[in-house]
Amino acid sequence: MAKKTGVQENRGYTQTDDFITRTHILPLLIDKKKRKELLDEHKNNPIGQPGCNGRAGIQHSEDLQRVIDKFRRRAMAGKYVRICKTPHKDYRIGIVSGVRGKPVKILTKPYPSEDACEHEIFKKRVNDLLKEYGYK
Amino acid sequence: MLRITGYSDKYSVCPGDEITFYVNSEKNESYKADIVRLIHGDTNPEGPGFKEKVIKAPCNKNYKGKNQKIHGGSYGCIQADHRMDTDSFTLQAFIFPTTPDKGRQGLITKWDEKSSSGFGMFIDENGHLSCRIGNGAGKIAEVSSKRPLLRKVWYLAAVTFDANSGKVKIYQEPVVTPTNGGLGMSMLYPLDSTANITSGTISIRPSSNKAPLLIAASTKNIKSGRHVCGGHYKEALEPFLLPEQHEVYNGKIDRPRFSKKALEKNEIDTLTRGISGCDGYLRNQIIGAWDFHANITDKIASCQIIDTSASKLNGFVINMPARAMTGYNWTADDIVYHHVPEEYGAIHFHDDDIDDARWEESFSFKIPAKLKSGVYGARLRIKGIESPETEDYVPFFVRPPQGKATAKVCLIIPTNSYMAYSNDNLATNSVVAELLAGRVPIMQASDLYLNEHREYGLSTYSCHSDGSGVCYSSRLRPILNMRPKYRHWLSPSLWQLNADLHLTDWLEEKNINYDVHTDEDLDREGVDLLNRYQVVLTGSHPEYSSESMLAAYETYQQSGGRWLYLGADGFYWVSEYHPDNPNIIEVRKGEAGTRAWTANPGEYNNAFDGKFGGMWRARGRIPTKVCGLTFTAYGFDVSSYYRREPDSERKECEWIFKGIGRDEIIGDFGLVGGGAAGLEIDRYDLEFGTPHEAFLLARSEGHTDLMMQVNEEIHFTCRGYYGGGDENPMVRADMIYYKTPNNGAVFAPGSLAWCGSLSHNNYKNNVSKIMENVIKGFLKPGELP
Repeated sequence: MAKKTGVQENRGYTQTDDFITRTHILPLLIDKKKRKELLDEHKNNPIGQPGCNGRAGIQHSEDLQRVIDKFRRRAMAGKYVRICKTPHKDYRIGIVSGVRGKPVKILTKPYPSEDACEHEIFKKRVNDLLKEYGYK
Repeated sequence: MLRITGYSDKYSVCPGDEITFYVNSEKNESYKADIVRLIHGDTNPEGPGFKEKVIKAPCNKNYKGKNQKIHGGSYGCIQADHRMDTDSFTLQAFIFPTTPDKGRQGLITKWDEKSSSGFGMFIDENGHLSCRIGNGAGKIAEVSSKRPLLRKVWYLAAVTFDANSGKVKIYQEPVVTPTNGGLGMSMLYPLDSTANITSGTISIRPSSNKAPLLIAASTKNIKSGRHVCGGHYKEALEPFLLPEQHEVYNGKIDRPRFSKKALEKNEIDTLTRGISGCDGYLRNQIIGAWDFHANITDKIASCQIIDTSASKLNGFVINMPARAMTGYNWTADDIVYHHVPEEYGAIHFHDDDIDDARWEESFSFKIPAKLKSGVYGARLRIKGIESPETEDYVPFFVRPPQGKATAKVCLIIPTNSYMAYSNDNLATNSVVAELLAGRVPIMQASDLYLNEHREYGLSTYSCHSDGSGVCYSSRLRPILNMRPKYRHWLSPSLWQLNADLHLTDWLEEKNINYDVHTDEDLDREGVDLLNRYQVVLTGSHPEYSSESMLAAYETYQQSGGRWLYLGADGFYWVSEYHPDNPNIIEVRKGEAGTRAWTANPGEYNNAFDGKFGGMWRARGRIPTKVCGLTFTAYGFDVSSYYRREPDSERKECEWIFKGIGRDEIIGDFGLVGGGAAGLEIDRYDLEFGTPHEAFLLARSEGHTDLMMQVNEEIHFTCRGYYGGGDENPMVRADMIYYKTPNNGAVFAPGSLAWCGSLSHNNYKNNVSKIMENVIKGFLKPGELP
């Protein structure tokens, strides 16, 4: 089998994404103080808050949104989803295979709400990304 | 995992009609069925909670469950015929494979898997074109092209076998023009990496079998016990028996032919061009020559495929593969298939197409004469257990007696839109799901089931397994995201049917008597249906409309009808019913619009009616002209509120706000994202046809930066202008009101989340108050203020 070309491997996309991650995402997470700030912000407001009583909806800070967008645009294989075991009571973390028809792997730990599960996934993704780039 | 699924033979019934249900009990467990009236489907503990009422019915009982499977994947089928029992043969077609690497796929096969007998042209496990021959006594011989087929490239594919010599020949010849592959490549170099002519000699001879000739699949079981007849198979005058298919091909096929001799290459070339160019000798060798464009008229809704040879071995395509597809010879000189049918000889087959589950009947329910019009369901529970894994509902809609009204208010249930969103599988298939939703998608038992049961088909928001867009949706299968209790990944909570139950619940709470009809009824009966009512309501998201539905709403307004458009992103996509089967809709997603896929070049026109598909806007019927508002922005994270505008204090409008303070914030509460303005929102636009004397009653504000303007209005993407709700004044929901001729009127709050706020504070809130004022005001006879 001939070695695949850069086009066949879609390196144009993957290498640019890698540069963006190193330049714009990792500095926000490597710095422990900044990381804690983002984790705290996410814990307090994992989704956003609706506009209410004349006050605009509360969206994420630009730094947090940038990190979240990175996680959200990743390819499906190995991506986390939330699994509703019992509505409004029991949520689990699932891992998508990326292959149509192949089951979602469901982790056993229960979370009491949609938001708690969302935040746990955010924490996992932060750790996963740091690990991927060789940080503890 | 979900253990029970079901569907019905129809959505819409009148008293006296019979509705039949088809149930799959995954593990053959018994189940309890009950007919229920569905009132409120939202299980959120912060709202009124789930509400249903069991209706006494003879069918309410326990049933012995039975596992029923769907045979998904489209293919062409020609019944077995003695002329097909030939020792020597040529099979040929133009093919445009879209998943050449997925494993064995049948192209043209007279093959019986059980006896390993017959022959066929396949794509083999290596992605090579191949000829397979089985002697029915355990021996199989296969010769391949030894070159990989490339995705989205047209090829002349042919295999010949001469029984006297035992010689097999394979032709894998790319046929590439600057246009014919659409968005596929046209520079093939080096050509011999994919083009090849190979041959081999085999010792066995094919044995005959009773399998039908299949195109785009091969036969797993000759008898499936299923058949097609009538409806969209109206040319099948008697039951047309179906095999169970497998090895389903993804891609296009154009001009398949079957001859009883190993043809020479010049004969193959002559035959590709059509029967008319063949001399007498060649014609006598032909068993079948199917031209898929032969029955294109001003449309190509038919499922029949025509054999142009003397054999007349016509057949059918099963499971609705896409027709009106560009062929191997498409020049792009014309993009309307019925102008140049000979350039549209291709059918695009998919291994996840489905037109009908074709299950055995489980039970029926005759609608009692006095059953009140409304939303109902057959509640199915394994052993009577209520849980996400043991329960399914099959919703249906009971109309008043045929031709009559039993209320002054009517709700048109947007069933077209329910069908368009059916079984999307986007939480596992699509990167964009999480970005759109602004959260990690939540999957329920039914979503997990659908992920593992791809034969249940997809939605018009999905791409097939080969990446092409899904343009048909059939409701003759379980649609598991159209259920009460269902919480949708795209919404902070509910979407479509279940969201529309917020409205029915409020109508019941407010003792507003109402009838329901479906999109399908409106399409068929037109404005006569609407004219029976003083007030007509839409659901929360009537996005998909047929031409006759738009005409009915427009005429209703002209003739003094009073209309509440209670959603957003309404009347947006062209969607037409199959002319012979209203259980199937078609949607072509054109080159603009908020959409999950884009039609390939030259494939914009509907097969079902021949007209330009995509956005109504492109046909001069922008939603603003139908309902005063046009889709302006979407964002599914959180909702927001409205602020009143000065027009709301005018004498023509003040009655709508009776009991509401001038500075009162409207709708900063609700079960859909926490506000009445959210998910998808609409704005007025005088440039686009909003009636010039429309009033702006209120507008929303405070949307987050995830609420973004729709792409069809963005000519240049640029920062600071087309951004989200924190910088773009086009991102807002406009609540408007306008009068129409003959004392009619339209009220439209411009938000998909609107109805989710109705039940707040035990139904005592300003969204509920505005709705009550409008409906009661509209019901008052005489002139409006």
